[in-house]
Amino acid sequence: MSTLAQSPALPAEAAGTLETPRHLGVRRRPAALSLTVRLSVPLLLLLAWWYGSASGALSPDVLAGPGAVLGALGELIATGQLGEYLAASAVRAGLGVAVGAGLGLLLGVLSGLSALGEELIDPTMQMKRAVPFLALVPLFISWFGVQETFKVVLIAVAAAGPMYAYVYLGVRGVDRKVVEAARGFGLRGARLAFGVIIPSALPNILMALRICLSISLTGLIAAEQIGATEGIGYLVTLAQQYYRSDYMVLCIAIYAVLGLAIDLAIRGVERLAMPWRAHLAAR
Amino acid sequence: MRIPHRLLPVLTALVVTVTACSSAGASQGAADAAVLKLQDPGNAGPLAYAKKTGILEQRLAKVGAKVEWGGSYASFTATIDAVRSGSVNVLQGAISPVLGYLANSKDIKIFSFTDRVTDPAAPKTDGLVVPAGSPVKDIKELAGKQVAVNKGGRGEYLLLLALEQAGVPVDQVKRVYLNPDQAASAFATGKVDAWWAIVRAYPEVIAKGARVLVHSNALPDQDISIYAARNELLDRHPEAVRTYLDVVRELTEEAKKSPEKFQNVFLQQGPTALSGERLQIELDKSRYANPPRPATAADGAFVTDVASIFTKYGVLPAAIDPASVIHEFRKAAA
Repeated sequence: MSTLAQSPALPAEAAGTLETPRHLGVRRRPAALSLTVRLSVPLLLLLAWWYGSASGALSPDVLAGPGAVLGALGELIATGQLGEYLAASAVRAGLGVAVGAGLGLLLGVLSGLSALGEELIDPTMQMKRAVPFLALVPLFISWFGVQETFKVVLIAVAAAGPMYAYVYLGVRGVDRKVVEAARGFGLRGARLAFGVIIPSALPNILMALRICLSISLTGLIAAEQIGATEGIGYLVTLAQQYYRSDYMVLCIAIYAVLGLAIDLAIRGVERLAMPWRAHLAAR
Repeated sequence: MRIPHRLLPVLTALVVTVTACSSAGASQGAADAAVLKLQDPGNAGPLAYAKKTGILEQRLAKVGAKVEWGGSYASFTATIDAVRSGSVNVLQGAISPVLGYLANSKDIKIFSFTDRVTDPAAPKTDGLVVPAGSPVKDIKELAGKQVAVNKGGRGEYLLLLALEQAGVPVDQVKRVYLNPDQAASAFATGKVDAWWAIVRAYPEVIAKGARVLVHSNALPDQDISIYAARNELLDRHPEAVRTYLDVVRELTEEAKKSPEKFQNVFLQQGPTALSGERLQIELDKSRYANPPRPATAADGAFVTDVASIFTKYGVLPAAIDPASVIHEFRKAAA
């Protein structure tokens, strides 16, 4: 808003001359500064945690100290459980998100592209989106048992909703002129969808993927409370059942690191898949 | 409008896939050839030891039965869902939580009871606790207070029983329904005035300085431990269930003599591994533990007593006929 207020456009126009607009250009922040600022808030939180525990302000019953949590991490690494748990959860989350997000993507494109598709799919998907997936757990257990199928289906159902909503929005938002131009060149059906519509909706799709992956972590906690013997969601259950506050905090730390990893991975994909968005328009 | 025509086969394919998936899931639970489906036994106890050594597999093989070790469950409710779907067909628990299940579905029966430990030297396993600095000194002073209990489970049963014994009107005490892990947090931060801590939660809360108002062994507690199994398993393969019970009983006897090898069975480290004080408590419990025994018709009195407390205070909708929920091996064999 400030640029608008300061804009000299009005007096210049009144004087009858046109002023060359300032070139937005590429404004890159220095990498070192950017990284320092990025890390400062998490580091400050860590420091506060460490100081709080060391000074005795935080009782170990309220929040386990960094030493205890590192000890728990050491134990998990020593017994090899950390790797096994992460691998088991990664397989479940990966399969679940692949199936759920794949389905959400397909339905979102169909619903965004055609009126019939929207009429057929959209009301059901909107209803489905309103149903908390955790409410489906008892039903899914009776349909799929308590083994891997149940866990993957639960995560898939959780992931399908946001992917559908974002893709539908993205496809609806694709520039009509671009689609018309592509049609003019004879693009139809799948080629139009894969060549023009999906690339244009890519920012939405990647945003949806980010959300799907985060939701899959929630799904893991719910799914691995039931009939699991490994997984990071199972670790949360164990920590609660055995009243191990060090492991509870460790689980939170693991989830935080996973959140960071997901964010970095999607940023990487964004750079590769959408190089034209390297400098953000609004800044 | 060309695209809609192309949509139809895709949509049809989707519907077919979903239907196929669900029917495949449903047929999974149908197979039943003397397979005992058990929960993950964790890192301690007779069953963990059996899983590690393969004793149960060997003994069951003699009667043509197999064992399938499943996963663990965060709560009794989750276990119940697994039992209902047939993913678990033998389960361990107390009378109180199983009554809630039996009130709705009659597809399991109790085949074993474990008598309460009466030795006064045995470690206490539960208690109605208040924070160390609480003004409450007696159960009578709980009127108007909030007490955390596990819904329809042992905690709720014991609280109702204790209030009845002390002559405190039950509706004057607010029961807050929390699972043990949630209750531990609520209690530690003073969100509830008292808590009936059971099983693992009890030694934890005592170690943190909580004060006990009453223990279950000061009460006419009839809510003893049980083993139950799904009806089709008991009807078709009673000998397999009997063998399971024999193995658990023998291992419990063995654990009384040498409890050490029944703790930290799989892992010496990690969240399930015990050490120090926690380990000592579990070793003491094993030394005093009673082995499970086959159920008899006389055990119906336990079921009736627990159910009567629950029905009296509206926890259960209707009384339960004990004969319909107890399985007697001898009668089944004859």
